[in-house]
This record gives sequence, structure tokens and C-alpha cells, in this order.
Amino acid sequence: MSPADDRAPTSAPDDRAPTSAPDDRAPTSAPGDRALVADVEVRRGDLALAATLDVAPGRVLAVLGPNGAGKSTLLGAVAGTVRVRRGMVRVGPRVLTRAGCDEPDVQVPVARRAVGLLGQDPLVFPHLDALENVAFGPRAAGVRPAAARREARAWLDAVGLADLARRRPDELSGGQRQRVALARALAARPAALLLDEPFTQLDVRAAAELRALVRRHVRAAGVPAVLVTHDVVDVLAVADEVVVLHDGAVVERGDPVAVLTDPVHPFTAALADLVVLRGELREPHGAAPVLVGAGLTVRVPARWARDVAQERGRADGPVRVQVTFSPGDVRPGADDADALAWSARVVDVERGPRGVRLRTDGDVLVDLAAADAVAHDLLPGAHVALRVACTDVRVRRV
Amino acid sequence: MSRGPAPTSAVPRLLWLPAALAVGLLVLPVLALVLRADRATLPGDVWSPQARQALGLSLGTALTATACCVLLGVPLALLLARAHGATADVLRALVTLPLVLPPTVGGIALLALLGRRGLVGAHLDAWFGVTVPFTTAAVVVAQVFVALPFLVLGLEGTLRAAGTRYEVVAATLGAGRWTTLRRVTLPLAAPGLVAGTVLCFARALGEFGATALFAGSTPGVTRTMPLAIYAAFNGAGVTQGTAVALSLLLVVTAVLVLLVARAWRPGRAVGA
Repeated sequence: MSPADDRAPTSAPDDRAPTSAPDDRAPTSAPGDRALVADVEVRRGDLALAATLDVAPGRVLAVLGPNGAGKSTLLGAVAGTVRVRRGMVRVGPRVLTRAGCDEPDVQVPVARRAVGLLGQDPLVFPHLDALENVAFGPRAAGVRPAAARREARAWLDAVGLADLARRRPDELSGGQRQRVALARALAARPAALLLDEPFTQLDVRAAAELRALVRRHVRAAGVPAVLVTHDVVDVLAVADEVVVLHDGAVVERGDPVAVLTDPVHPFTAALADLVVLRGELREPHGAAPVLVGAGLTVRVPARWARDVAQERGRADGPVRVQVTFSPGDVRPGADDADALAWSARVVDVERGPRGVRLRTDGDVLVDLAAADAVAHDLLPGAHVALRVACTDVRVRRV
Repeated sequence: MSRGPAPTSAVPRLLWLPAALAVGLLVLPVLALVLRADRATLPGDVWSPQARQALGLSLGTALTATACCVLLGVPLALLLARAHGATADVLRALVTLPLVLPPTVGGIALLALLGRRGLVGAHLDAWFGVTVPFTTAAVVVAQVFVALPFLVLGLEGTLRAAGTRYEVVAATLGAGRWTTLRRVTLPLAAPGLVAGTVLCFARALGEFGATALFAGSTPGVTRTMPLAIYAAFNGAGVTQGTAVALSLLLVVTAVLVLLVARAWRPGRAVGA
């Protein structure tokens, strides 16, 4: 399946380290032997990054976070372009970076790390055609030009660009250029692959195609890959695991679907387009139990009170919980026994996935069909009764 | 690069006048030179032994000087383009100095350094018996002195504009420093390198002041075309017709250099 299998016999490599020679990463060792492991502390300007990663061969770990969270710094630490204060980066037993530990410091130069990089901008060499771009890695490793070109042709074929091998970069579309860049990165036979928001500059269709290609080839080539992104679509489509980075720290990690449907951290919820309310469960005398927090008083079902009572038996002090729900599950209007219900004020109204999106008190988002919004006269400043069914809510203690 | 007609309508009409004057100032003297040439004696003047000797010496020294400029200037441009800080800024300013210095000052400065009693020249003479001034080598040194900044500054600008992003990509693909330089950095900077080399050659070919002071005007040894023209114009050994003929020869050579440089387009412009 992968053209990696039909690599032509190579000439003797030149004086370079044999890191990119084919035998070095022959798939004879156990998969765990080739995992990418990073445990680094980096300080860069205002950012203090401390993160750990562990990616098995053939798997994609997504690093999700907003701009300034330290995603690119983390990638730079693995790629060797950013100085690490303390910690270690290794692929299998091979240490690429080690600093501030008991053992001597190590900093393998970028060219000898065998860590591939696919960035937002494809950066396809403008003076070389597609084929020569892909053949660049093998040739740098000492493969003879003809053999390198054969190899490059196989990789271009694998990304569906066999017909465009002799096109120059400015004769290719953005999606095609990014596919050339992917083929080029893989043809260099990296021990690990870093993907720095490679889909953001592509149109919807090209991005979808490239996501599928990345996923397929990372598995086929059996390299550990780290995908940095701020887009949950990338995570769901490509990643096997996700870590959420916030202010230089990992705040959450796990299975993409689990993390994105039931986020622990409010910040993850915001990325996943979910509403998170944190507050304290209270039981006013003679009234239904309520959740008080974020400036709201939310009536919760009576059975929650029993849970509270049970919790009280175990622990003193207030019971703090976090409820998570989707803006699309919030409804305006009449009360419902088996629902969370509260009243709020509309802060602003904008376009939303279902028509309009209301931002209400407590930063609660409500997605409605435009007609519903009009029917309830929901303009900024309007007061509205809101509810969300218990079945649409996830609760966790915090 | 767009090649359509420029929207001249956006320019105030009043600017046509100074623009036309500028063109006249640049083109008319050369035209006058062509018209002034005596057609009867022109072939003989152009093919006279003195003219051929001067042209041969000019082309030989200018080509040698250009080769020296490329060998020395490319490394300097590479280092300057990637250097940061005050030292690099000072160095950049110093490299520019010969560009703004009158060439005659350059000639005196070269004598001060390499002259028989110069800072280094005295030792060269005492230890190796080598004297540089008033030799063909001196012509080349003078030409390198005035022409090198053109290559360094032109190439450095291109290298800085190209940035280091492609070089980082090359490194992630396993390319060492030499491979990256050979297969990425220099090909990407090729337009700047070609432009710088052409300017360098043109400047070396036309060099007069520094050569006159540092190398003198010995026929066949240091009398390049510009010096031969000056000598001819002053009536020393050759006629004024020869001066015009030699000038025309230099004009034709310069035009040929420009045409060759324009015809040769390496790859595509960076970032196009």
C-alpha cells in the first residue's frame, strides 16, 4: 500500500549520519520501541510551557489549543528549533533533546532528528517541480537521483498527484501543494511527523481530502504524528488521541470523542462549542434544588437533591458541580419537570449554526431557528425563560 | 510580475516633463556618441591593436574581478543576511562604504594598504618580494574593491527577503548545511545573485578612478578600456576618434551584458 515498501536499493549514503537510511527504522522492532515521547519545559517570552506527550507509531495525537497556548512552541521543541529548558524528547530509544537532567545535555540538530514537518504553509520549494520536491529528502539521504525520483513518483502516486509530477509549485492549487508537501515529508522517511495546522489554509473539500490522506499514510508508514490545531474538526477526523493545551499546560487529554463531548475544562468546552455552567448545588427550604453560579440560579430536577443529600453524608461544605450541554439543546419557553430551567437576559444576537445564536447571561449560548427567535421576540435586552432537558446535560462534580 | 500596460492615467501629467528630460539625459549622450563616430575610420579604430589590447585587458580583469567578487561576496552576503545585532549592522555599513566613496579615494586607500610602503604592502615586498601596485593584479584588486559591495548588498537583500523558512524545511527533510545551501538557499537567491553579478561585472568593466591611482595606465598591463579612452582623449598615443570608437565598444559590451543577464532567468522569482 505504502510506497515505502518498494524503496529501491540505495547507494552508499555520504558522510551524513545514517538516521534517514532505510534500515534504521525497519519495522522489525516492537511498535512501542518507536514511540515519540516528549516531556519538556520551555520558556519563551511570557509563555511557560510544560507538557508531556507520548505517541505510539502510526497514531496521531492532536494538540488542541488557541493561539498563544504554546502549541507551536511544543512542536518547535520536538522539531529542535526551540530550546528546551528542562526535559527530554526521544523517538524510541533515540534521544533527540535532553536538557537540565542528571544525564548530559543532548541537542540533535534539526537535519539529523528525522522529524518531519508539515506546516500551515506547504513551503514547497518554488524552484523545483513536484517530483524534485518529493525526491529532496531521499536525495539528501544520499539516494542516487534516478532512484530518488522513482521513489518520489511512488509517493506522488500515493497522494493522487501522479499526473502532476512535472508541474511547478505555482502551477498547482493550494490543496495540491499541501499534498506535495505531505508526500515530501513522508518520502524523507521521518521517525516522527509534526503537523502544524496543515489544513487551515485549504478549502473545505481539499482539507477533507488531505485529512483522509494524512490519517491513511501516518498509519501505513507507522510513524508517530503530532497534529497541532485549534479546529475540533481536525481532531475528530484525524486524531486517535487529544491533549488540550491552555496557557502552556495540558488541561485535558484522552479519546477525542470523549474529550470533546464531555469536556472537563471550560476552555475545552468552548472549543467544542459547548456550554459549561459551574456552580454550587443548594437546597432552599421548601423549594426545588438549584444550581447557583455564573450569575444564574438554575432550577434542577428534584432527584439531584437526593444525590446532594448523599454527597453531604460524605463530605462537608458545598457541593460544586459542572453541567455541560450544547447550545442547540437549549429551548426557550415553558417549564418542564425533568429539565434544568432558569431565566436570563439576551445579551446579543448573531448568526448561528441553526439560524441565530443568542448570547445570554452567564455566557450561555442558545442556538435557535430564526423563526423561533422571532416568535419569542428575542432581541438584545429581552428576558427569556430557558430550559434544557436533563437527558441533554452531562454533570460532573468539580 | 504583471506585464500589461501601466495605468499611466494615475500619474499627474505634469510629471511627463521631468521624466522626458531624464530619458533625454540618459539616452541622448549615448546617441550623440554613436552619431559622432567617424564611419570611415571606425572599423580601423575599433580593430586597432591598442583597442584590442585594452578590450582584452578590460574583459580579462573584469571577469577575474567578478569571479573574485562571487567567491568572496557570496559567503559574506550569506553571513550578513543571517546575522543579527550591532556587529552585523556595523559590518553592513562598512561593506557599503566603497559604494559611496569616490573611486579615487579608494585608489589612495588601496595604495596606503598595499603600496610599496603600505601597511601590508611593505611586508609583502620585504618577505615575498611581491609588489601589487601598477600590475594587472592591482587592476583586479581595484575592481574588486569598487564592485564587491554591489554583489554583497544585492544578494543579501534577496537572501533576507527569502527568509529561512525553506531552509528549516530542508533541514527537517534531512538536508545538512551544505546540501541546503546548494539545493535551496542559492537557487532561491539566484535572481539576486545574477543581478548582483551583472552589476558587479559592469562596475568592474567601467572602473577608472581607483585603477588610475592604484594601477596606473601602462599599455597592455593596466590600461583597461576606460583608461585607454581617457588616454586617447588626452591625445596620448591615440586619436580622439579612437576614444569614441573605444567608448562605442564599451557601450556595446555593456548592452550585451545586460541582454545576456535578462535572457537568463533561473527558475522563478522567489515567492512568486
